[in-house]
Amino acid sequence: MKLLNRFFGYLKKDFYLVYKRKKFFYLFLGIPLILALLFNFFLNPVSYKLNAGVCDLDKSSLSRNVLTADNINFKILNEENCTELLKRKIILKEIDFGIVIPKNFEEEINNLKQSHLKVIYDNTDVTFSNLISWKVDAEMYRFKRRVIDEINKNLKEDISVVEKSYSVFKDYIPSSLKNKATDFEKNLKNIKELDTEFILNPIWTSKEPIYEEKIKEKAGIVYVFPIISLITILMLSSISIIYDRKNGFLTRVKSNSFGLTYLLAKVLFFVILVFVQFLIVLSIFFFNGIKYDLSLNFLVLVLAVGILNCLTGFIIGFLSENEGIAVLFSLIISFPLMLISGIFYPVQTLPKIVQYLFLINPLSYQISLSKSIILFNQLPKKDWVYLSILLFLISFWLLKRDKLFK
Amino acid sequence: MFDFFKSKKPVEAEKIRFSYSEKEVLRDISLSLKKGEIVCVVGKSGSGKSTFLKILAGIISIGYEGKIKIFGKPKFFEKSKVGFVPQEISFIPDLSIEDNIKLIGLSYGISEKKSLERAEELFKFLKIEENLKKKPTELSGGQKVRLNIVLSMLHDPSIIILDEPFVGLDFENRRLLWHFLEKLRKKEKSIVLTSHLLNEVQEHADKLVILRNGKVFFNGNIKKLKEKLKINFIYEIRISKISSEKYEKLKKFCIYKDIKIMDFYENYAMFGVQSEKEKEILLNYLKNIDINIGEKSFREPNLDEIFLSTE
Repeated sequence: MKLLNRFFGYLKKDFYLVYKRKKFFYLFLGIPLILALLFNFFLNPVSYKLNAGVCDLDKSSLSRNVLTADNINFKILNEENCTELLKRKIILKEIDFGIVIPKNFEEEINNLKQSHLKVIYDNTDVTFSNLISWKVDAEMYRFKRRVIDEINKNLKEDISVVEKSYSVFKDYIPSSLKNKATDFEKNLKNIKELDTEFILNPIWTSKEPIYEEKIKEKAGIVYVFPIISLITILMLSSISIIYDRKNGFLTRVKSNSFGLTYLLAKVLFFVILVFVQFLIVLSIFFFNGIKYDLSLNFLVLVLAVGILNCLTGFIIGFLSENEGIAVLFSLIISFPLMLISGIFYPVQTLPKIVQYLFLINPLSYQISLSKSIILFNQLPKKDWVYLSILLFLISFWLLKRDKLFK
Repeated sequence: MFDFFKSKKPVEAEKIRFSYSEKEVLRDISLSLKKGEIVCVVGKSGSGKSTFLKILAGIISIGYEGKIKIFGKPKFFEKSKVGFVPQEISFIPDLSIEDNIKLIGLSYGISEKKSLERAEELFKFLKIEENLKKKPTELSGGQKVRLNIVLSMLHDPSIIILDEPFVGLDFENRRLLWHFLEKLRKKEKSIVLTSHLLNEVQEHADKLVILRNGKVFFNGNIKKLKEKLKINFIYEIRISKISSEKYEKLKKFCIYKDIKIMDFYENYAMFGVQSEKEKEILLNYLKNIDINIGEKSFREPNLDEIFLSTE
């Protein structure tokens, strides 16, 4: 009974504090909400319409045709020094990028000569320029297809005229040239049957993913949830230890009990927080139209992520003298872990030695855990249980030897 | 077998040794405490008294050598019989006094209702008449110290360990706290505390433990201490300023005669002597070496002065 009272006392205290310390409360609810919303937009960049400034120096019907892309808003600039103006506007963030359509654009295409479109962008903004490149390529592909389709149609019309003329004097070709005439006919036929797609892309590479394309939509939460949990729980759990130490609660715990119930109650408290965070993230994805097949395995994920992150946070808390150092410590740990977790950059491009770090990165471990449970509803190996026990023992040892920094 | 039926001492600490990194803080410290006894641990800053109390209270639970028994059992099994009042005032500042009482009570394993009842009782003793809905940060310094004690005693411990409980308290609050400790003594509670206010300790403590360089220099009552130090009287005098040569001579004489020079500053000197006869010998010597003597005082020493002589 005494033990149970203690356990619920510790748990109640932390919940009371979350409720009473409003900033803590908002931080705990706000961070996952904001991060999940942001990630949701990052993962669905299609909805964003780019703003482009255009210098149309050709002013032809074909150049107007360029400006009909679905996902780009075009603003035509007629000023002198248009190209310089585009650059200035990009720097001032008035437009996302610029397009310069040169003089004789239509004429050169009509003469079957290569024409040139210039895209001006800010190359210091790496991720945004990638997005621009991706969207411009996608939109230009449609435009190019229309242009080539038109050329192909014209070509076929021209070939029909040639065919008609040829049929008039076909019968008068001497027999010695019959073979060459057959070749000529064959070439005409080939040109007539020429496919637009072939001219545009003579060799098509098709990619065949192992899983259904739909799985990509669901994959967002696989990364978002462990990242949110790592950043917030690492900070909150380490600060919670320092708070208890600073106001003497830890002294009272140590003077009156073995400390095991204190640690267990704290772990349960943070697992509940992680569960709430998981629900927040899940709801945001759900409202965005992504549905998950909920199963009890999801609880295993919450348990694993919660326990691993809060115990790491406790260790940081026991080793830090104050909140500032704990927060710094948490950030120093989470950012490199995020960088080498394969979320932002492919790990394969890293040097071999850094790739080994990826293997022991707890975040990559949590992401793979999250992937196997959320995407494939498969329970992972019990490695996380052994790791949790190890972290719990380290935390307990640190609690016992904590000199309270006073 | 019959050992079980013997009355067990509340605290028995045997040969406690402890080091911080490579510095040895405590060396073979032993202490036993009877029921209803007040023991004061004194020593200079850094002598290890707070560390010793933290070991007794279980705050430091690993890394020390020696045995601690609470009522005859290893400390681990009887932790709830100990109440520790830390030197730093300890409460949860974001919660009300009532929430602090309930939650700290729960952390001791007792129900919220019982904690509130117990707190009410202790508040009466310690004269805290504040609204429980207030935050503890709104209390005055003295009230905070008293609340700190209440929070440490919600589980009605048999042994109370107080680390410097009088720091920052005015005379009124100190008196109140001593009366409270006397009441606890009457209830057969055993009390260990550290304090620098030796004159007050002298009035209330049954036993003194003096720590010096991590070792027990003395363990017993004040009478025994006086006997050990051979200081039954204090002889204070005003003297003319003397040369360093004469001072060296005087020092040698005092060592030879077992007289303690307890303070010597410009034209003031304080000596610890065993008897009136010894005082006369000292006086004659001072005259012999041509030291002019002014005002004199000959009296019994207080605990501060005795403590000074242990340095």
